[in-house]
Amino acid sequence: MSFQEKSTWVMLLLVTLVYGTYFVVVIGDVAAIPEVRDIAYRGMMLATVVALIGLAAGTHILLAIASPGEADKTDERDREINRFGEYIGGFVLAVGVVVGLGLTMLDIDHFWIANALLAGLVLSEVVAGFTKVVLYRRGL
Amino acid sequence: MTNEIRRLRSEAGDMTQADLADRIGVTRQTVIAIEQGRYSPSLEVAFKIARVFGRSVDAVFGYPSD
Repeated sequence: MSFQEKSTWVMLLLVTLVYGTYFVVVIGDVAAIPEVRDIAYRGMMLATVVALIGLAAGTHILLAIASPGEADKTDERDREINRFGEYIGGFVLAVGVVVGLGLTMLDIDHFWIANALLAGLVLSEVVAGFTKVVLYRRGL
Repeated sequence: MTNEIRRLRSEAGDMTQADLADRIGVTRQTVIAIEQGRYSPSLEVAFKIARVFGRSVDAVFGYPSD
């Protein structure tokens, strides 16, 4: 695998695990706490984002140490696969934004708006990452 | 698209995929993908590959007729 393909796999796994954990915890909170206004999601959301950045940086450093000659090499195939993956992910992101807009117009509690937007972002990254991984394996 | 890259590498003193990749500025995995028909290189990269073997692009790559 090229460095960029390894990086794509790592990010796909990290996003799924880290944000997956966040949403499992939040759904647990929604079940346990009847009033969503009382759910302290802000701190959790920020901590999740910081954790993802930290883990992403750490794993990429490890990847670079494991293959120093290949670290950070990007070529036209990497760029094309990345472009197409992001293009597909963009549609999912757009749906997430529209859902967020809809919830805002309906005056729904911002807990739901924030988490709907985050879910849209996470789903778009998962779809983009999955698309790229398939393109790397099957061909462009 | 088909290509003769594997044969040309072997005729060029058993040039490795890594060696070819370094000469044309792509990753080794991209050379593998091109050889296996999983990736069609850009025109620029196609010309660079042809130039490495001292051939024309037509001699290296084939496009099936309808």
